[in-house]
Amino acid sequence: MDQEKNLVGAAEEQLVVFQLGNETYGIEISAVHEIIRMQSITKVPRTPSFVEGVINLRGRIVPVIDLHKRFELPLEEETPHSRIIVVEVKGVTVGMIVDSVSEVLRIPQNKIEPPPPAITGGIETEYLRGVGKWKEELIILLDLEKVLDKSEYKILEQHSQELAATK
Amino acid sequence: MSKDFDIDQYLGIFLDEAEEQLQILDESLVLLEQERDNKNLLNQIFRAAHTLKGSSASMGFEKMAELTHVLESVLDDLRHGKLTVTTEIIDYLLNGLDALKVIKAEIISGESNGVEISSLINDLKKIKGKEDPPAFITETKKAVSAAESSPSELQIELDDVEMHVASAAKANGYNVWHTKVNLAPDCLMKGARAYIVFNNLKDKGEVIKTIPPIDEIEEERFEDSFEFVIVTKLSKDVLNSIIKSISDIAAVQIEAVQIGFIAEGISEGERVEGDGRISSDKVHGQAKVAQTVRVDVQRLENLMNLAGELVIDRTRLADVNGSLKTTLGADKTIETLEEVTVHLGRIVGELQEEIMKARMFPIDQVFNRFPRMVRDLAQKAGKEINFIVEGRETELDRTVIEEIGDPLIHLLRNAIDHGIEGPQERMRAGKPAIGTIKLRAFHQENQIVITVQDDGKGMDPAAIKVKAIDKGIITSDIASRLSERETLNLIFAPGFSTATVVSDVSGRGVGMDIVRNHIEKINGLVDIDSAWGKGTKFTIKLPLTLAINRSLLVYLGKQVFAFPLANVLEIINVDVGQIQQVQQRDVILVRGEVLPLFKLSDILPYPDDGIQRDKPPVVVVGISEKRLGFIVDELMGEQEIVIKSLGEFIGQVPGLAGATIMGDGEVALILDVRGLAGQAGV
Repeated sequence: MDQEKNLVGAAEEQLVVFQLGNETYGIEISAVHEIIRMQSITKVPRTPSFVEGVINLRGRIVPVIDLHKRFELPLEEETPHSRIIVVEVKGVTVGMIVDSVSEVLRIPQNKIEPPPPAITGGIETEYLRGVGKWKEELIILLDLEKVLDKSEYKILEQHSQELAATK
Repeated sequence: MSKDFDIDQYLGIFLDEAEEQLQILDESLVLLEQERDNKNLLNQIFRAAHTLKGSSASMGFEKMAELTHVLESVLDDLRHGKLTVTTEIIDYLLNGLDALKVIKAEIISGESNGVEISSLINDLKKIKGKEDPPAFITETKKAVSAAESSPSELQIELDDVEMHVASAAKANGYNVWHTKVNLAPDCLMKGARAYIVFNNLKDKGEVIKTIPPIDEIEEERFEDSFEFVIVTKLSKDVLNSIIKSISDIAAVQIEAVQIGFIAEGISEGERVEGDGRISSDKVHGQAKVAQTVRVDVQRLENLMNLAGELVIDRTRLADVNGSLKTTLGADKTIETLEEVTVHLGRIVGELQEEIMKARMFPIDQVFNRFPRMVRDLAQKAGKEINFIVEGRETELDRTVIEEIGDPLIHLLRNAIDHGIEGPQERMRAGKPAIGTIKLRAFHQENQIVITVQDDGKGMDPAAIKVKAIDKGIITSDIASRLSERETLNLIFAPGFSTATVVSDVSGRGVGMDIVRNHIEKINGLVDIDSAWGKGTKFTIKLPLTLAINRSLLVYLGKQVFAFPLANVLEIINVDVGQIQQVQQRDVILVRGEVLPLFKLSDILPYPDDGIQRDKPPVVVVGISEKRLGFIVDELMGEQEIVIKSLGEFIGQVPGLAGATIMGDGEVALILDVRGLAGQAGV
């Protein structure tokens, strides 16, 4: 693999690039299962607020999360461009709602830099893998494992349940 | 030794086999205690020990091999009448068996618990009352070298077809060689070795017979040697050198087949014992077994899921057909569509049933460990118990089988400890000194029924009431109004049973609430029937499978929820005006009984349609002895649904058991009534 990459020059990463609010994000293409249009989502009670619910993905029950809520970004209206990116990380399949999916990019690894502290409006650096520079644009690379981390999620779940209990 | 093969691959097979043999030993040793003169049984036990010895040695598990070797030699003495079966010997053998199980567990976990087998081995040697038996390893080596130095006459029995082939080949100038291959005793992948032998001979000639049969060789069901008859142009010496060139071959013995000569077949494994009859029994016995294929459980699960998808699509197709028919009316194409839909529906139904059957196991998988357990417990309690098991062959879904073991152990344990009286007490009561416990399984409609029945002292309702009041489970006021059946059911109440309580009451109850929880978790029901002085009978009813569920579908807003029908007692319409408040909770009187009422939308919580109804539908569910009603927006109907999990990411949600996909492709949520009750604080 490495040799192959050297043949084409510098090592590259293939990214699926999407919009979330005003920012452009990227995730590694290998984690992406498929990209689907918005469809009806069944709400599931007693789940963290960023869990929108579950969908029927050709007979499979797949949970869907809203990345705006996950990162506490300002909420966006659903538009015809809204998509669900279905990713699989460590055997767990999850759909992520994004505002739009723009393209698939190959970006040389040397164009990717470690995340500077507090670069973006809201997302904490721990969820980031780095920042890629592509033409004039900055692409924020998400660390999917962190974003979908169960232990973190469990804490959030407890938190939201406690909130629900106090209501 | 070749490193090309992965020992792990063989480890699984070995462990499966070892489990099988250990199980046989377990069952038959207990049986042997009752039927001490049963020679067939002794032979069966001996064979199991022998097989285990062979397979553990070939996998290099010295400890297991050593112990089985000593067990085997004691069994051999029993078999040849040098020793007689006594309870003491059975105890020693069972102890040895327990140690084998521990060793097996060690092999699985990969860590040594330091099982000390030397004292056990000494005990066993003592009962043999002889000098130390020769160590196992040397014995095998001796056997092998004996085979090498002084080859005994090889004899083989060919059937008519084989004989015909052989004589025809001979007439055409081919050689017919009867070949016996001895593998090195430390050879680890015997099956693979044998395969290499056959593979190397593939284009040299035709193998017309093998002992044991080829499938057994492939599955490695042979000891250190196997035999085959090959029709070939090769000379004896060339054949010999081809086989010898393969590593791990200890000895090769080749002789010409005497056409027309009929003799007793020698067979695998038993050569050391020189007992031809046993081996032929064995071959004969196996011929009767239905042909089977080992399939990964996950694959069956996947098949089941796929069939579930088809069921969903069947419903959707029927929906489409229905709506086309209403919009387009009678049309030839629609008639065909309807025909196909119905046919497809039937086939899918059958397919699902067949796959479900493939996932079924005989309940013997659970039952088979009980005779030993009952024996040990009875012995400890100083009671004599005749344990009867019926319906071992009754088949249950794998998921149900996994869950049913523990509750049954509880029930049997209680029957022995508290149900059956001591011999003296029984005599005084005019009963036979030996108590009887009967475990029975059978099919009844779409359910499996398991009963545990004893002829012990039964339960005293009065004593139960006293204890329940004492424990604060009920008030004496309520107690006076309870029927006998309701009283008996009190033993399932959490907090009723602790070991100390039970013996002074009427006798039952180590964790009866746990028993009931277990059974209800798999959508089962448990019921008691007991007569004071005469005995007690527990009846457990279980669904055939957990994967498919008949459900009552209801709406909250536009969302569909499914109540498992097993939990639904009835559906009523409640007049809002009749709802009363008791301790800040909504209740309603139904036929004179107080029914606590909850809004499903509050408990989950989940948005409802916001419409205030005068007579909302209420689903009345029963959990244990409790009844509660859930107010829903609307009823949809009854349907079979396939249970799917919400996935690892969402995990367990209190009040939900999973999700399913409806005919229209929408996701419905399946309710977990027990969880809902918990959320409601009941």
